[in-house]
Amino acid sequence: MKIVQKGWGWGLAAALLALSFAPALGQLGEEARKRAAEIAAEPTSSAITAEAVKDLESWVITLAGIVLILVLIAINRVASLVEFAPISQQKTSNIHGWTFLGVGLILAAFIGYEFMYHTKYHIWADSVHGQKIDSLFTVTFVITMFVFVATQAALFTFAFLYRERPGRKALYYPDNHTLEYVWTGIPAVTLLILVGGGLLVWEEVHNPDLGGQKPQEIELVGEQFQWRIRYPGMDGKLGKHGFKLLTATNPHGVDSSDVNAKDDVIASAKEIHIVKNKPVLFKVRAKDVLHGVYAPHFHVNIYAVPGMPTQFNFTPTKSTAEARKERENEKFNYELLCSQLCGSSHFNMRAVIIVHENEKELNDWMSKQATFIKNEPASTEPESKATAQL
Amino acid sequence: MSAEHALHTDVHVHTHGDHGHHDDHGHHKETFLTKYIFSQDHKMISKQFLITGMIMGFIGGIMSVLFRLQLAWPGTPLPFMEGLLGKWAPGGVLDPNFYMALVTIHGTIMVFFVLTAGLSGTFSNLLIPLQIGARDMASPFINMLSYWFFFTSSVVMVISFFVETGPAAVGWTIYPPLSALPKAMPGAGLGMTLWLVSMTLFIISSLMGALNYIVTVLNMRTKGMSMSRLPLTVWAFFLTAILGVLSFPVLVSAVVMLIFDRSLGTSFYLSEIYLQGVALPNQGGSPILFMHLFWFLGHPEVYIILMPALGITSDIIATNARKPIFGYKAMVFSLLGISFLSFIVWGHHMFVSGMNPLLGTIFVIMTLIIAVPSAVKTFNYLATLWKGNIRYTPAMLFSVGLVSLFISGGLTGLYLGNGPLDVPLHNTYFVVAHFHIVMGAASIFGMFAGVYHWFPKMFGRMMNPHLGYAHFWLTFISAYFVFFPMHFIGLAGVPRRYYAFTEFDVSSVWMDLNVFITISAIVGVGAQFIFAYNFFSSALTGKRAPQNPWKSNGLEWSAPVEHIHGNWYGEIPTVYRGPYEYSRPDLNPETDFLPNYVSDEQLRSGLRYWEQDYPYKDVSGGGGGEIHEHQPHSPVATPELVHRKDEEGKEPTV
Repeated sequence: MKIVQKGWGWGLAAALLALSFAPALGQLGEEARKRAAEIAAEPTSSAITAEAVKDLESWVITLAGIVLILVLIAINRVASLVEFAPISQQKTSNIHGWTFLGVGLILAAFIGYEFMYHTKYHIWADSVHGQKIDSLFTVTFVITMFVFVATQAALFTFAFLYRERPGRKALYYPDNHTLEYVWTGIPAVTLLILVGGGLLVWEEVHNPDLGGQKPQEIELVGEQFQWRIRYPGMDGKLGKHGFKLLTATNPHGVDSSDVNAKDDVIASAKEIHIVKNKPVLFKVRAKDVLHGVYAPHFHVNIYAVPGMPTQFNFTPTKSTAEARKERENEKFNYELLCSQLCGSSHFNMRAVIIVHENEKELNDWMSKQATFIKNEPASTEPESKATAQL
Repeated sequence: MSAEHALHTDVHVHTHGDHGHHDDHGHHKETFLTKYIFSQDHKMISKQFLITGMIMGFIGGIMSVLFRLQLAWPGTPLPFMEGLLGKWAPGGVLDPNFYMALVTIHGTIMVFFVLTAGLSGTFSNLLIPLQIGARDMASPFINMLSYWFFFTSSVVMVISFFVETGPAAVGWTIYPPLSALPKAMPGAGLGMTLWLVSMTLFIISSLMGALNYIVTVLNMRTKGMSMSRLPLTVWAFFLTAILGVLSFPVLVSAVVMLIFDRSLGTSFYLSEIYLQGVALPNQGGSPILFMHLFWFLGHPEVYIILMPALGITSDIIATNARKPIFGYKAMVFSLLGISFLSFIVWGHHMFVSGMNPLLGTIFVIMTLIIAVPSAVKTFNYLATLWKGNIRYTPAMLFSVGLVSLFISGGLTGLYLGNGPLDVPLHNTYFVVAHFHIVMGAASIFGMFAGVYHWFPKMFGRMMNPHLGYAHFWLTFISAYFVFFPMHFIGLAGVPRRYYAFTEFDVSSVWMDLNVFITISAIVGVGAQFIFAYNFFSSALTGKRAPQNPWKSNGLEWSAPVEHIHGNWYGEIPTVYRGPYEYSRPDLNPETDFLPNYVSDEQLRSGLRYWEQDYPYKDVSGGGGGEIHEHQPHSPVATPELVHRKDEEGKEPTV
């Protein structure tokens, strides 16, 4: 590398000029922000000041443009100042061969660090089917990690070992059918194992063995931007519903003429109450757009689709109290999120899942809730007609 | 002569008619308009695709920085944001609706405009005629239209930023009903309409291009260029074009029905919707239908993006490892396998959509099978590098980088493709990590590799290798730094497309990591400016390219450095073997390459003009990027030599 003595003055000048503009730019930006804040505080006299802010903004943008150009000029000059003495391609290859080794080690360290410090938030499911998913995950992890380490190590090692050097000649080796069969066959067999495991667990997820227990049905309705939660009440049956019955006061569109609807409980808080070791059946609907019922701690994930009811069956294995104790975090809560983009507040559709220790706790909580009929006392004619039309 | 030859002659005459006289090159006057704007020359069109794609890429990349800033420092006022985005960042804080718009358009631009049109459009156009030995595309006019439809569609997409309700903000997958109901969010309004218009234009462009590529590859190969001697690049472009032709029309049907639902009151995707206090009349439609149609394109699209990158790197790795690509046939069969299977795996995007679980089982099987050809490709890459003599040009660095990313991203596909494992991971950051590594970073690495490698073919000049090296290492490390940690965020249950991580306990623990990712992303995007500077300054003032700067075997390097209509003076060279005959032991030890346009007689004559007569003689003892002075062009390309070669018109030995 050698310094060429030409044109450095321009580069320096451009850099200095750019630097000298920087404080001015900061000042202007600050000023614009202040004025904007003033306008926000005093909207009455905003007509003129808003104009001034716009003016100021355009100044900032123009100035920023100038600074950018100056910086580019400076970079250009610096680039032309330094002319690399010709290095042979072989030396270059040698340098990059070593760099692959170095960067390979850096990346290995980085990935190692990630595994050490960022797996602590990994979610191991607190549900029956979720644990089966997790064992499949572990098998997949072991297999893929083995392949990952082996192939990446081979890649970086080859990139280092076989870098161009004087006197080296590449081996002419265009084909080997045996090798091709081997490395087609081994992945195929390995993947058969994963497919087999996958299909078995898939069956467990969608058709779980509930041991004869009747699941606790809970209706979840997604809307922009919250979850609506309805329990069937003492009769264990959710009342009928129809989307034409939806009003501001009847957010589930429950048909009040249906007998089963009368004791339904519509939760006011965004809490889903379930019981440890008791199967739960989420009956999922959406009012407006797609949503996704996502309870990561239980490995529950199913879309809420307008016009097409979906459902998801799971059995929690830990109560909220146990989970808190295990995590040594008194504030811990199982959460329900929205997993399918539904609009601007998609990120903010939180509900909490509370897993009770036993049925009694749940019943205590449930008995304190108002039933549907108390909220919607009059069973009116038009509504039942609307249901009939559906 | 064979039928192939007869056909070839026909085509030859045809192109003569189109372009006038190749031998009279220089007398033929072109206006600025026909040469640079409405050019019908495949080399110019490829540059148009590349530069448009690059501009779109920068727009998409800068968008990613903007939303990464929001994720790292949610709610922190950044005054320059207001200056840049105006009402979309009041007080310097990004508006949630505009966050979604950025995410959506970032995805759309990167997937379609950069990695489909920018990658496939550039290199299919540049390399298909040059590598198979054709004067131009089968239909240069349709080729030109293809670019201009693409350009128009890019303009429409960018214009959507200037409408009052902002651009489309419903995610790049545009799932209805959100995308079908303009009232559901601002980004589902006029911006969405423009998105659909833009995409329709894009698909027209893509179809025109793809049909051209297919016809050209099938009909216009030069003498001796049998399908089994096609470079892997051309195989990849060819199969990519077939995927495009078969799958893009399905997206058109999906888009047209969506337009009907939006504007004409049909109910293809809408049913039982109650939006903002009003029950809509639509009944009987299903959003699941849209997902099926969308992903029927969407999954082949992943391979439309990836396969050209794999083809490009196959070529570059063989050239720079100075070894034949290991298992040429296996590489072709794996491309064929991937192409076929890519049509029957789309359902793995829909495991938790409420689709019948039985259907899910089939997609689990198919999806995991597609990992086999991908694994074969990886192993073949490794075997090609094994005992090579690896020359690190910037193109080679990016190719090796691609293999690394392809492994990392491909393996996580085994999680997402396996139905039950997808349940907790669907739509989380794990997915973001997976597809950004395997489809985003890997493909863009293939694209960079291609640009560095064939830049001399495009502009007749060399890129600055040092800036190329800096570009590679910064990009490679930041790609891992940005995307690898996202796996862990996803495994901890954080969904994607979240404006802020602050609202949930599962996500708020990641704030520190988000800062790290954002800083890495800024470095990564910043490194692309090195590339842009290198690209444009080299195109204007770079060192003149020699005839065959990488000592490569490909037919493209026999074409003269300066661009002429019809690519070759005189007759098109004949091809005598595959393009990967590097380091053949029966050749003089000093010669480690044997171009596919050198006949066996010439080889026996001991002239070795492809080596000796090359204008470029590396004084410092290697090939690669060290070219310091302009040299006259190789005699390979001159009429005398080509004529001498082709006199016999001998049937090549396969």
